[in-house]
Amino acid sequence: MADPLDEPHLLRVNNLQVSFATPKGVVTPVRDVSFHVGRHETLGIIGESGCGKSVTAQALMGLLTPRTSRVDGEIILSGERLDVLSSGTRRRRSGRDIAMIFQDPLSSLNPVFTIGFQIEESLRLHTSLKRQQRREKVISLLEQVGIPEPARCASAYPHELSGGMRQRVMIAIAVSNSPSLLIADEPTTALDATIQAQILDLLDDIKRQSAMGIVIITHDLSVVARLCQRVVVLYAGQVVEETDVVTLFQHPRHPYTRALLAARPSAGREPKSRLDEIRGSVPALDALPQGCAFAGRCSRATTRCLEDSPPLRMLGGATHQVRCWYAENTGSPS
Amino acid sequence: MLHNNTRLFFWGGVLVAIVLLSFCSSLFSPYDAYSIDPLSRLKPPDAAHWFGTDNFGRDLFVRVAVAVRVSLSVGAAVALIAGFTGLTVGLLCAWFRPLDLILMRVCDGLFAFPSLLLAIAIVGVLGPNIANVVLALSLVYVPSIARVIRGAAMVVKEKNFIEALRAQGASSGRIIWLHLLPNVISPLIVQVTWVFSVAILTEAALSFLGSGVPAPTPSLGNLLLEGKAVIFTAWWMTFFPGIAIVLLILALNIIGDDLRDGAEPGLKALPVRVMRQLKKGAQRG
Repeated sequence: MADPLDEPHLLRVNNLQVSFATPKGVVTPVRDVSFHVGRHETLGIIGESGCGKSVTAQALMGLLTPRTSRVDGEIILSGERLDVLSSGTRRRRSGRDIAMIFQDPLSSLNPVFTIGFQIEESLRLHTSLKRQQRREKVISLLEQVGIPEPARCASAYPHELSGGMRQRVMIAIAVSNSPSLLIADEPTTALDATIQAQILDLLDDIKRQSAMGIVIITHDLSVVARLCQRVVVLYAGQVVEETDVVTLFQHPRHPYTRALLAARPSAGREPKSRLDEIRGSVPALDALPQGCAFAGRCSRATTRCLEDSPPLRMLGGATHQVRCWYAENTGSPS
Repeated sequence: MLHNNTRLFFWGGVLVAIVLLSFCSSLFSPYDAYSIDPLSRLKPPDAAHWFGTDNFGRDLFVRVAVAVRVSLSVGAAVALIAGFTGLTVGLLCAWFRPLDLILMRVCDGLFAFPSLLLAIAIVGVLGPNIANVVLALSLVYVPSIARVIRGAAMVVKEKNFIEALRAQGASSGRIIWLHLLPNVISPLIVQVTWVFSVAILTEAALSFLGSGVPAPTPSLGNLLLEGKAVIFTAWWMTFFPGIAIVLLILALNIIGDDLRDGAEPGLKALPVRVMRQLKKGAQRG
């Protein structure tokens, strides 16, 4: 095992590849994905539905069952390879070193147990705290995630809480063992706008207090703008662009990223005008094109794009990577 | 908590009355279920022998009481054994796919036989005594419980909180027994009450056919069998055991039905509501 101090990154993912065996054959929703997350850093992973975001998260957590799926590549957390651990060791790590919060807080809690019991459960799994200490920790965790009347909430059942409250509880469970990395899979998608903002602020606060790294998986660019330092854009299971958040919004280089940014509704837009859209949809996983995966929807695609798949290459500084033959061409798309 | 309270209480009362009468029969009658009295054979019901006597002069009230005791014990034992086994098989099948393929084919095989025939076959091989009857009936009813539990557990298994628990690092065993199990308690309760009453009925049928509880131990089925020979001269010998079966099964079925109605609004509803009710009670008390 490498000394953690030699490893500059908290999490490093190298050439992650996930395949599923389906009745129609093997599909590969995540292809050769590499990225890293620093300590104290929030990384955004964005992309539309079906581009492999959630599968990436599940692979990081070790949630994919080996019977139906195959995960290749390296997952290195604090200098230690997680992908080579036995499933039992991996399981004892998850929840302690890596924690995850999910998209739908309404179904993420067991309906038959109280909130307090379920937060205690993660303490029971990873600590040797006594019952009374666990109770106290539960109250302080609930306070930490901004729940009023924590004692009453602890004895309530999940259905007595609103979606926002339940997501706070999920965050309390996730941070209960002070993990070094938190994976948030669309943490605000199921919540309404004001609650979204509160939850995002909460995540930011927690990151500041505990200095953990966060991976936020989302399709919402406003979430990225609000929280992330760096962004990975996924398309059809591949990284198409990776850069810091300012560059992403100001100088996007991949046509897909540009199209995503152009599709945002903005305040200065003409009323009732049609939003820009990306025509077509993500290619099916069992029918990926030979060339660039985005070529079929790209307004600037050339024959080269259709025939040859572009590699991910560095652009400008050492922090901007793009998977496009024409990334230097910065003319406006369309 | 449950709507239709009066019906539930009435039939609950009937069941309690039957149970009390059968278990405390010695308080009401001085006779013994096994002592023969040839002088008073086949007497119709009167003040001394409430249900009359049988062809050996044994008091029928006491024999029916003992038979109800035997039937209830067989039913309860079958419900418990089949309930536990079915729950375990169902949960494991829902969780482990490869196991599911094997165990569910075994269940299909058991299902393929009519339950009574299967029970007769098993008792025939093992020999007729109460323990073997319990074993045979348990084996017959495990598949139906296992299937219902498996179905309910598979629904729960796909819920997000199971994946969230895995992400927290909970082991399969812990998820199955601590988190999955309470979510399938409602269908389990319904199934177990159903098996309880059906097992009593099937035991009666087995005994009537002569491959159940062996004489001289009275059971509701073999009392009917003894009465069949003299049904035109001594109606009481079939009437009272028959009434006992009808009331017992009706009471158990209606109670089971009402429990199911109470459980129906949602898989999770019953345990939550029971807990809530208990908590309220505790606060009031």
